[in-house]
Amino acid sequence: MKTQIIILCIIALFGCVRIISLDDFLYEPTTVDEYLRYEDLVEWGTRFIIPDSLVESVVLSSMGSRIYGFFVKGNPDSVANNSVTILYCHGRGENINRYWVRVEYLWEMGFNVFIFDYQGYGMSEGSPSGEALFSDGREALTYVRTHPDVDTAKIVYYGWSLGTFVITYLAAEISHPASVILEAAIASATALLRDSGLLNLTGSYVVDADFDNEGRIADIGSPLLMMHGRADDYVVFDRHVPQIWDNAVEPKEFLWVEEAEHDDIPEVLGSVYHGTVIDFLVRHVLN
Amino acid sequence: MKVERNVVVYAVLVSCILLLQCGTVSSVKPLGVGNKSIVFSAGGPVAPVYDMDVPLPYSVLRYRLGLSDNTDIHVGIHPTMALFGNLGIDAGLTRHFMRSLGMRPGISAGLALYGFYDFGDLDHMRAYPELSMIFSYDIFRSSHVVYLGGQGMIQFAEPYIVPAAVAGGEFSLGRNFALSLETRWYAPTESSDDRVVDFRLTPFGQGALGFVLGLGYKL
Repeated sequence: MKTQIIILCIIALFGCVRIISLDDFLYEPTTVDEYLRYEDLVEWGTRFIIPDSLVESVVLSSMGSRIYGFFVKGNPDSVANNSVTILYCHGRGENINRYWVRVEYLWEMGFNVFIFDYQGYGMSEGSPSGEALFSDGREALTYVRTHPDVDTAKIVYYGWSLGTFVITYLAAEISHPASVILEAAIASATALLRDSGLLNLTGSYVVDADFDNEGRIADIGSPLLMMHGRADDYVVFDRHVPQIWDNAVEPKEFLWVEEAEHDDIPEVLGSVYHGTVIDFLVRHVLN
Repeated sequence: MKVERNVVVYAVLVSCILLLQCGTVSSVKPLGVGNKSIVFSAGGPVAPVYDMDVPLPYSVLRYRLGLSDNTDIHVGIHPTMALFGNLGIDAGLTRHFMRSLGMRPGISAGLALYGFYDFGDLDHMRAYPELSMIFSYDIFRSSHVVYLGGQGMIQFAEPYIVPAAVAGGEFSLGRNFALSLETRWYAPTESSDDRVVDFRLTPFGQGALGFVLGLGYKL
């Protein structure tokens, strides 16, 4: 028996090099040859309200790959008067085109917005991974911080879904922003596993990406606004939000939207969404 | 606008969890003192993988030894976990209290301990005790057996007990081989609603139904 046990142990130890991981399943990018074409935007409800003259196309380098983004100068007629800049990290699906409507919301509030595609998304080269997303986020932040129209004391990080992992990484480990907005945040890769699997294994068992909002949130001292749909059946409120919210430090505010699902908080809230974001940033960034 | 939910995405991801207790087939017949066998089993809850609904393939390779006429012990490794770069092992003991006789079922109870580690921080180490109880019937006094029972995996987090109901059969293939086919209802105490994985078989909206296939060889 001793021999067989030794053989089993050797076989088990042979497995200690990761041959497969589930990281790829975290991302669902689509690629494009050109951004912001009418036919690619219209399906996402884009209103085409931003003048081209306020949109600056940007190419950055991240891990040797070119990544693409857009710096949009805020609506000059707005209350916020372009003094706040939002670094926007989008979700796991599609590319910038899909999120342009979100840029429009923030633009009409009067904020400058920088949105970029992670590696493997849109026109960006490379492949998405946890390391790549964090690298892309760092490069994007460096760009924003050195942009001549940006007041570095008034940079806000805004993440939606997968993008919240990048935001908390940047805020906790790179540079504290003026404030942080998390929309439909996932607690962690571990929480995703626990959600369906029930056992309390860690996400690191199956993915390399160090996605851990519930851990990093405690290291962010910036004012926090969390938004989440109570009807979100994708990132279920009770299985993700308390884990993040309870660990977050003050000042922190929330907006739990009863009727909203994973991807429709602004649409469900309408003007309340605009009012909430503006009010939060006016109080915590502008004043 | 609706997020395109790639059901494949987390299907595989989550499967790894439920499968931990699911890739094994139950030990229903005593080996006999000094006898040894190896059993390779694979399976799990049914979920979509690349547009196909299949039992997710969590695998376990076990070595069994008969300590006495009614008591077996086993140690096992988990190849699927190994592919992810993790150490997955289990060890346990099965006591066969009663043999099947006529209408009277055979009764077996087991205690096992599963251990997992990803070679990261020490707090990534996990251990889960599991208790099981199996009732079995010999089919027409043959060496084939059908059985049903339940298992409960214990953890120090909610839910503290993750149960599974099992029903299956073990069929002799000649003198040394045995084939096991087992149906498992994973976590019937937990709602299946709004899970990140789209389990295809969810009786009464609870847990997930799956299948495990095992092949044993008497050494």
